[in-house]
Amino acid sequence: MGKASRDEEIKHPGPLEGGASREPPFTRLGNDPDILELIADFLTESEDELTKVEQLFAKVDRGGANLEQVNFLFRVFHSIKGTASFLNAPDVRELAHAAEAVLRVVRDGEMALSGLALEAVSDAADLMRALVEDIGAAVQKGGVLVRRPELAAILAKLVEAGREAAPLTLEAARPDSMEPTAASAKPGDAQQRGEARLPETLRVDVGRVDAAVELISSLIVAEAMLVHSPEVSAIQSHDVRRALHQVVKLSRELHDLTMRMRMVPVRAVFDKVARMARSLSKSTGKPLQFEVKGEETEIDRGMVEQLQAPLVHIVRNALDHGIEPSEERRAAGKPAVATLRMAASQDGGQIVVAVSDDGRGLQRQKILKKARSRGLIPADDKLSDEQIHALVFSPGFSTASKVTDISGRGVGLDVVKKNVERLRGRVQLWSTEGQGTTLRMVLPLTLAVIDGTFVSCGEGSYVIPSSAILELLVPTREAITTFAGQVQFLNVRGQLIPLRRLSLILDSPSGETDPTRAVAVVVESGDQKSALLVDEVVAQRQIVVKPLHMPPPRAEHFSGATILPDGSPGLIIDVDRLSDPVGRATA
Amino acid sequence: MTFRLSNEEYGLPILKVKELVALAAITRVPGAAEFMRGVINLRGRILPVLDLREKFGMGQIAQTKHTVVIVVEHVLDGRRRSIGIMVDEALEVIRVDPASIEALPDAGPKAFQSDLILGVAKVRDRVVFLLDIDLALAREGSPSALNELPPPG
Repeated sequence: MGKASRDEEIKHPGPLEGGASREPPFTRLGNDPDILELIADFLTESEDELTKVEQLFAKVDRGGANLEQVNFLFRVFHSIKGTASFLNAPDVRELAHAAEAVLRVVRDGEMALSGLALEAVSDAADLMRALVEDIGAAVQKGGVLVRRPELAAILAKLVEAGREAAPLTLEAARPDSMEPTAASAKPGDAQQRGEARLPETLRVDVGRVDAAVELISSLIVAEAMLVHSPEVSAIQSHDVRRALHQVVKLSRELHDLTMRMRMVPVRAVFDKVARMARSLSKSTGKPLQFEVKGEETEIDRGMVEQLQAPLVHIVRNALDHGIEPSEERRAAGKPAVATLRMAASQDGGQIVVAVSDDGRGLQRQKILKKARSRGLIPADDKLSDEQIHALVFSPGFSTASKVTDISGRGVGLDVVKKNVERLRGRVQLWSTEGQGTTLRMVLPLTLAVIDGTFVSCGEGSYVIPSSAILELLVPTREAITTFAGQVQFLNVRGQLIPLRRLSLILDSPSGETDPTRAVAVVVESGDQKSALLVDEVVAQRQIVVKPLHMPPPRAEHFSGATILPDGSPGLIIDVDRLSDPVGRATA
Repeated sequence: MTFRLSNEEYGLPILKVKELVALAAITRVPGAAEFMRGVINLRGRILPVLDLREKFGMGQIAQTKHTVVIVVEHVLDGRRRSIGIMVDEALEVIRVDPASIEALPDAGPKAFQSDLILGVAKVRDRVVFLLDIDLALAREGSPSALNELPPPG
């Protein structure tokens, strides 16, 4: 959206000191779609801008923000102020105006933004984001906008900062001078000021990208049907074969490209979590140095939102349980300021997101005590470190000695684990007592495409995610042990693994009954291995995962569906939920 | 829009109907409700398909050349989702004069699921049961399953 054009729209924002006549914003706007659209634009744009502001503050060095950065801040607040006046959002307008005033003083004095002024403007930016979020919530829920209690304090701080920055003039308090001029918003200026080095982007409606992905998925299915049809396969013509090959290649490329369109940097999530960590550090009184790496790493858009909850949880955990109060740290010979690192990277077909702290680490004794009192383990059990680490992931386990409003009650890492597993990822944990904890989430690159192994079983054919498969083997008679005439185990190199018949689990008639003529698919769910007996393993290929929305009762065995090469739907087996009784022998 | 189920004629508000599709290759979904026939590929989307005869405890629909799937929208887990409703035959789109709609005569407390019928319309010489499809879809189980439940109280 053009800032310049909007600036023109709002030539006369009107008096700003109209505090007495404040009315709740938007109440008189009703449901006018034009206004709602304006508000939506305002929300996205100001959120984008405020994110840039936040990144700017993260980079500001000790000398303070330079003139270039001050100019940028000025423009952001100015443009927010303009729209806010138009939208009748007095709190936003007032705050933007006050911040703008301070920035003007700094700019006119050609000074760096530092000290109280820097702090005040940074506070204003944080509060501004909260206000903008409030507006979003109020519009969506139709609720009333309540004035933020902290607004008054920050306004006062800004006024004071303005006075301090310009002791000889009252400029700062002058309402609304005509700034910035159109010239400062001229295109081309941006590069000179060095703030637009990002690659050019185009904002596209998510629905369109999804529609493109769907269409291309269908195209690939159609292409497979065409290429594999017997009639086409019989064609000998060199030209036709070459053209077909070309079609296959191009459609794959197109597919990859659209998939990449769904990828977004994790930066947005990291920024949010960082913001939360900073405010937690303040409220808990535990000084914190927050380091972020790899925020440009891209992940599937669908995963971004779902990544946030586990990350927030991990960081909260770190601040609440892991990181010690400064005194304790000093006593332990550690730097008083704790370090929390958040890093993302792409590793082959996977995304790794890690959070590590240099806190006290997992406390073996405390965990054991808690686990015993919860009856999770017998009193005299000797546990390895690994087993202890596994305990913290069990449901309802939380060792916070005091309940704080940060970590809440009884909600622990099990939620993180569950969230990550829902994304077909896994969580790893390392911890050294006294030195810190690292939690790593390993996630698939995309939610939409997975490697699938096609198996047939009775009349049905199903897809098992290849990532869950350890190995495929044809059982020999000797390798099968039957227990109590019912339960069968498969001996895989000395390890007994429960043998389950997919046909029984899925109640699918006429599966192969002789295990030695079937194929055992050894799968892993958590630490649990099991061997699934299927008739045949048909093929392995990439599949596009589609949601399966069955009315209740849910089809528990499946995590989704896909379109098979023949155009019919295929069901994707959820290995984690094949909870049926361990395979009973039918023969 | 009216459709045939066994020998009975039912009606749905036309605005509920998104489209009609011929029954394509259907994949059974083990573990789903009895009356769910499975899922089909609707232009790349996975569409669950319900057998309305089975849902009403009238036995499974035998597939003929008339068998058709009516795609409607319903609310599942608070979201609008499409679902396919398999019926014996789609008949026609008729205009029902609201004044001609009568309440379903009370067939006694045991008449099953009579609350799913919004009313009865007489169209020419035929009787059309107007179906509350949202309620029908929201109700879990088929009548046979419901009958197995112990009586309330």
